Amino acid sequence: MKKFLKKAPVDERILQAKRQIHAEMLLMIYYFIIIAFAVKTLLLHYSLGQCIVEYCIILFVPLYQMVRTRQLKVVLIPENYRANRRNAKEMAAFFIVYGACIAIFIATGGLMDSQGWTILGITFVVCFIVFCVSRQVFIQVEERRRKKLEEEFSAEEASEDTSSDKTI
Amino acid sequence: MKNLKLKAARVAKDLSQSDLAQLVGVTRQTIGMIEAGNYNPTLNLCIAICKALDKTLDELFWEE
Repeated sequence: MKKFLKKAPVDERILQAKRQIHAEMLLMIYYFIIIAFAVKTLLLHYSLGQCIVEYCIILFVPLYQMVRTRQLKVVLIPENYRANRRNAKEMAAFFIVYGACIAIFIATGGLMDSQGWTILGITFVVCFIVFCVSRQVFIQVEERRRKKLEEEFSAEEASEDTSSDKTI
Repeated sequence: MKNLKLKAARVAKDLSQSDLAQLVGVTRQTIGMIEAGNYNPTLNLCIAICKALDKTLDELFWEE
């Protein structure tokens, strides 16, 4: 019975491949959900209630990632990311995509009066500013966390060194 | 890059790829891929292989 219950050893290469495939698969599903959400809201003009599942998943995934990175004590963003050229490129790409989404929304939504245009313009600018600010704050928090983790790890290393010196 | 040292150590111990795989708890393909240099094993697996072949990490995995 014991032999039967004993877990068979898993080949690490197969395990790594399995994890990689799962990660890629889930990432594809996540992107598909984002596209589905965009199509539903921008092209088909569904209300938020009609695509609540996609909306929840889109919100849940980054939250889950944030929780797990804290649990596993890792920082995913590269060092000096704020001053990095990649950061600027990503912001520019976001601006273009966001603008394109708004353009699609307008193009498929029919004509709007001047008040509608004003509201849409203000919403566009406010959302973009909110996104930029929150993103920069998030990056700043992550960089601070990286420093904190480095201090924590070096403190642990130092305490281990002193304890091993005492035993010698 | 092929790991000929591992292959030589395995042959010297008169073990087949399957035997070694069974000893360290992986599949034969994994051992084959390590020998062919197509897979980077974890440190744990390297140590398990070294123990199974009575060699050190340097002897099997250090490249000059």
